[in-house]
Amino acid sequence: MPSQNTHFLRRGSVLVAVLGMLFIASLMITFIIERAVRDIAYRGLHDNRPDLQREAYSAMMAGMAALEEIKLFDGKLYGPQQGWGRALSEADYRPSQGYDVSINIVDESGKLPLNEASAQPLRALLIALEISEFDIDLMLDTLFDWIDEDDQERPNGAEDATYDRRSPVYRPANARLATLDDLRLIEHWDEAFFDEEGQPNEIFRQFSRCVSLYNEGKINVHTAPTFLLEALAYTDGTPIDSLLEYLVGPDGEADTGDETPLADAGINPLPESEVFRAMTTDVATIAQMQVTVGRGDVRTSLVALLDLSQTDALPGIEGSQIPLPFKVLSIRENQRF
Amino acid sequence: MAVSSPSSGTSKRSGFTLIEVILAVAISGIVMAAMASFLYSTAQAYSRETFLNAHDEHIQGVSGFLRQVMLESQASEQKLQWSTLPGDENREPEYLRFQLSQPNPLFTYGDITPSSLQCFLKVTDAEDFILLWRPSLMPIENENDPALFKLEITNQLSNIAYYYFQEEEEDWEKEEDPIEGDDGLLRMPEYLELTFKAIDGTPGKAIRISLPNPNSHPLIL
Repeated sequence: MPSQNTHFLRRGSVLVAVLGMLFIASLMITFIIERAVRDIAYRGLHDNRPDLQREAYSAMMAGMAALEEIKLFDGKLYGPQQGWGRALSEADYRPSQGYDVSINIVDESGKLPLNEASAQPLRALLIALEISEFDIDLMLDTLFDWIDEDDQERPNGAEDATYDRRSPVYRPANARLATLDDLRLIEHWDEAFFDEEGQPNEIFRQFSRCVSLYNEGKINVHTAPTFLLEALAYTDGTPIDSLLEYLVGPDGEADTGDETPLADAGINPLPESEVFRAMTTDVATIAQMQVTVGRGDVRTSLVALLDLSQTDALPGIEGSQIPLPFKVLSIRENQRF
Repeated sequence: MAVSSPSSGTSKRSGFTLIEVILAVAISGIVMAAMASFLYSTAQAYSRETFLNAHDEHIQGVSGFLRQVMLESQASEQKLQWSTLPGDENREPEYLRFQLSQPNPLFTYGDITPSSLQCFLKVTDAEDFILLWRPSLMPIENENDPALFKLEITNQLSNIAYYYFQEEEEDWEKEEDPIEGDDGLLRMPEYLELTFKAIDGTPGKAIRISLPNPNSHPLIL
């Protein structure tokens, strides 16, 4: 009996050894496969990029064509309620097999032009954001000192001497704001809009929804946030209830598709205020077209800034011109404006 | 006829013969040697592949960075132009000067990520392919020698070439040095060709970077 036990023990140890080797081999194979999958996925990010870019530019062209068709049909572009969000399906655009394409058009002209704004509407907006009059005086002067080309300091402003105390030392840009993030560099704006860790607060988020760095003209009432319209009306205390009622359509709810352009209103619902009328319009003039293209886990995005009031042309072969329905002011890949 | 007892029969079957042990050791040795060889060659191949992948990724990174930078420069008011460094006006232009007007986490000044940068890309020396930059809002202490930050884009280049479109011949021409236009100033090439060093027996790869001409359309890059 002892010798039989030894025999079975030996057979058992062989089995354990074989199982152990199988286990180690399976671990190694799993490790190699995991690394290989990660490598393939990473390489796919680069290898697919030109195809994704091509698809994104194609979608952008289709989106522009669809927008142009809407403009021809309705006479003008005034807001997404015209079907901007369905631009690709309206154009019967079919992405290449395996690609997901989405398009989003944001009307920049529905926002207050921050680089061009005078003190009056900006003050009204800051009051609506519940910033104190005292702080607003400081903020307006420092903003205008930051943007204007001269080094003359306004009564509550800030020029070189103020920013000499910062670390690192820097100078006011004496130029238009390039991004809203520049506000964190401006005296008083940093305290009002950002917390101690530099994170934007809710006031900044609300402010950024109401201002644009690309709109240089009037504000489109069809796409302007209600908050901004109410703030603008505050400049001379004009009631805008009838305008807001008209803009949401007969059902009294926004974005339900029953909204109609201001031009179709029998009685002009715009307030009598000359100031309000001078600041607003009922057409979209500047828009961002955001295109996102994905294939599997790989994504790319393209943002074009379009001037909807002008046409454009691309140089073609032998001096010919390829017409574009809108002027392309700028393009960014995988970045936001 | 000899009859063996049950106990002696059991004891005979309980061990391995010398031949069996030698055979088992020999087979195990062959299997172990094959496995070691397989593991070694796999590890070597994997390491070489990883190295080549890293090199490819580096090339793709350089290409992506330059493409992004050129695209951004097109959106700025100051267009791409040949330039010397500030204070070096008497030398031949070796740099492409442009402006960036979007924050980029690669360029930080203290804890600020500036939205406006003055950039000088040195494109005349493959051994020294660098980008010098300064935030527009950084104070200038000395106009003739403003402080510039240095970003080494790659140290893996073996050659830089310039592609020009010759309108008269309607053909592309590859030049080893920038060429002058009719006005005696350096012409802006349509493309830069960057050739990377040959690595581990593979031929040096080349990428072409499209340069925006001052009047080119934003959609053309």
